[in-house]
Amino acid sequence: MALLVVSAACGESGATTTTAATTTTPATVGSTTIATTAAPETTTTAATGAGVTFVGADGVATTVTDTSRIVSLSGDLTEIVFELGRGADVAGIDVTTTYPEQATKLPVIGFAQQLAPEAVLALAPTLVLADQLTGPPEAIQQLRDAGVPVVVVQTQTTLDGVVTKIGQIAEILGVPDAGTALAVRVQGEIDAAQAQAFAPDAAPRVGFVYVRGPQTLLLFGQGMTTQAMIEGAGAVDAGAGTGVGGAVPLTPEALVAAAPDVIVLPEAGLAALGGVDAFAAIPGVADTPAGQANRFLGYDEAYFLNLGPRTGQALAQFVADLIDVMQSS
Amino acid sequence: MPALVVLLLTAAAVAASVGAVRISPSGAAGALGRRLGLVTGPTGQADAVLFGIRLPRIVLGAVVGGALGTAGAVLQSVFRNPLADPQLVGIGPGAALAAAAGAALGGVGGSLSAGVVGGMLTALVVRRLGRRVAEADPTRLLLAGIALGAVLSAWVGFIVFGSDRSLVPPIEFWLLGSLSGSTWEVTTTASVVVCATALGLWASWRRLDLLVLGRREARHLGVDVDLVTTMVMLATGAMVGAAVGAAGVVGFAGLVGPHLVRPFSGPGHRRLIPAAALAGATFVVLADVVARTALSPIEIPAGLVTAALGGPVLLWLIARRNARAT
Amino acid sequence: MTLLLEARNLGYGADGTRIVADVDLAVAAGEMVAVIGPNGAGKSTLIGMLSGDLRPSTGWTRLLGDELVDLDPLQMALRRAVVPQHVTADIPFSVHTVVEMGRHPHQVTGTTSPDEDRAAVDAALATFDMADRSRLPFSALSSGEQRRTALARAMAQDVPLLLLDEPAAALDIGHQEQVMRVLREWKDARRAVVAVLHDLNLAAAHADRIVVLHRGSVAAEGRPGDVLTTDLLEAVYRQPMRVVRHPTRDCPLLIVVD
Repeated sequence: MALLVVSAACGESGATTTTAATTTTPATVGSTTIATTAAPETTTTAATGAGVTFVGADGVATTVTDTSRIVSLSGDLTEIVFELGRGADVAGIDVTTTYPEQATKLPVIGFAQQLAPEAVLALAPTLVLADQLTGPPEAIQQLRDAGVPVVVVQTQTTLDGVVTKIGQIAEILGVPDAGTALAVRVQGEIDAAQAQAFAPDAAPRVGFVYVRGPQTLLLFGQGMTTQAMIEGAGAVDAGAGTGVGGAVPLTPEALVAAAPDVIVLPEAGLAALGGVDAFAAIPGVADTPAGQANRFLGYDEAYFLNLGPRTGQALAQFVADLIDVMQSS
Repeated sequence: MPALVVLLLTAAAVAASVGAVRISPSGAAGALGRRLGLVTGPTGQADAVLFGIRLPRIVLGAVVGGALGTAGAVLQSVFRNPLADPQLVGIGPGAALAAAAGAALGGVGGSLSAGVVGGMLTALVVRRLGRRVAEADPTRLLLAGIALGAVLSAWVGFIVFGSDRSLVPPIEFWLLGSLSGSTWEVTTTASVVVCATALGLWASWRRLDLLVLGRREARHLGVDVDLVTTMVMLATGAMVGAAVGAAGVVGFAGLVGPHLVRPFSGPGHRRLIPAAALAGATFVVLADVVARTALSPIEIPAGLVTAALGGPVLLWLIARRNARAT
Repeated sequence: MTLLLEARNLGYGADGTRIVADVDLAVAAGEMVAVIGPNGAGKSTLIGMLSGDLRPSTGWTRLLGDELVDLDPLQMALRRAVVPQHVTADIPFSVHTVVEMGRHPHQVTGTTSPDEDRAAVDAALATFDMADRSRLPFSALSSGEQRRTALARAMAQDVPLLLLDEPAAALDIGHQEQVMRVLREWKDARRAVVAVLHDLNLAAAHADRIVVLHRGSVAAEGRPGDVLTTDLLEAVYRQPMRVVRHPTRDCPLLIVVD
């Protein structure tokens, strides 16, 4: 694993990442090149370090020295921070954070995709964790101009990206050990789940339908995190399979073309719609194999869609449910 | 007129003091002192918030409101229609369409320049509509403008949903107007265009007054009505275009501004234009204060507030017009 | 004799519907020419062409020696003033401002001063009896007062030629006479007036020359005494009339009979 190699090459002391030699060795984890400092090792407390310089997905190098008040602008990043044992340092979240429960009690600054800089500044953050969906870019710039470090983490869409993300957050927070441990554990859970996955010749077609309200139903396809989950379970992503890119409004034609054997939906959205019966009544659903055999699965939105610490569990549950529902019909 | 300036400055002060970040009066004074070079010392959060976030936003709000107020006053005269407003006659949505396309292709700079061009083109289209339709029945111009605006707004949706989200603001920004993208870069660029065109329109106050007499009478008195109307519409379109490129379509500022001040400034454009500009500016700055604080920390689009406040004004104007006609 | 206005072979309308056809006109300084004729005879169209509002299908018009097509709106405004038949009513400006707008051509070309402007406006307001109402908004006036204000504006414009379409409409009989007297004094000072008149007796009493328009063409032209004959008028207006001598004025008097 690339992460293990990097850890071995680095000194293991405190929160500062250093190189074994005195020259700067660029290491590649995932798709981000991390420039490491040649500063001397310092034994520091877990909350602050002598400074990690992290180059984010927007190409901006940010030096993180104080992680005592973190604002997390994406639910998956919040989950990772908490799992790394730094939940107490989180000072604020956005609406996409729904887990763990302690996190949901924190001040909400709004919706990260329509960022209001003042709302974030009001929490006096020492670090803002964002991903590539955070915007507008001007708001991020205004935060930086106000002296707040904003790290933009790459938005991952594959299962491999889970440990990448964990590694990056651990690096930023200066907790490489916890990061390694979490990464190993989560990767193990993912691998175990995939061991039970469908064989290619038995792969069912699974479609994910996102519900935002009775008026907005979207069929997810290529490039969405749901594709990673579905294909990770050994199934065929019905949406991506028929050429759906991203998210498209759900139409009877799209449904029939996708012909899913199973339809997965977010729990809360499905409830808002009126339950499985209400969904099944939507034109086109009844014409799909899923509709005809009544194969619908519902999961908590963050649980299924965030590629984060719970992904291994979610994948295992998903595979088990799929096997179950395909067998019983 | 001085009263209006005081009113705008008061609104600006209120807007500067309101926000999610608490700034004490002494903190604000310190920041102001540092900015003016009177006091030395390290800058703090107050400086960043006041001068990096709130001030460009207030200036942009005033510039956008000023542009829309001026445009409203001018359109009402050119079309001899008290209900004319840049959004209602369709110029706003046309500029938004061009600006959204410009954003998709060229970011903020593309958005502003495309907005200016789109505003001018739409203004010429609206002028043609107005010629066919307007003078006999003023409400027909509005109907045509609203229909045109609806079509153009729909096309904004196509561009937004089909484009890269990191380049093009969401649909609510365009159609409901928002000051959230107010960096100094955007604000200064928009201000330059708006001030230049507004001054040009103000300088034509005599010809605008004559247009109110009627196109035929204005021509009898020596005004090249076609040329003047074309130039006025182009200037108005460019001005609205810059405002929309920076902040989306903020509705009703062009309606409320002129109507509130006309009883005091009179119908002559030499005083009406500056008065309408100041009134529009104050209206938008105050609307943005509400937009930022009503559901804090969530910011609602400023155009929602102007619509909530301005819509009833429009209804009242229509009712008063009907009452007079009977 | 200076010709302030000259028109030759003026016509308007496509083949099929000729609203005006083959009209010649010459107006010299010091003349008041009245254009009369039944409804639909083409009088307003003729005034429209003479004032530059309408482009004629045939013929040309010269204003102080220059053809209309060669003049821009400002140049025309320095030579002629127009009071149309229908005055736009919903003007929010005050009477004073509306009359002052008549000075615009001179203000724009820099050939006047604020003092001259003020004098011209005040004189015009006084002449048409609108001085004491000068602060009122134009839209609040009666239609007769609006017409007098429009006339005052044309007078304030201070140009050699006046083109009027029904200047006496909506005016009471006293003001009708007053307006015609004002116009007569005015044109005597080396200016000219061309006025479409509805009232034949007004034309008979005040005009130097009368042009009778019938179905778009000139049926007769000349001095009132020569033109206003019973035969001609009955043919044109299809109404039995009697032309007699006015008891006190030196002009014909038309009386409608059964």
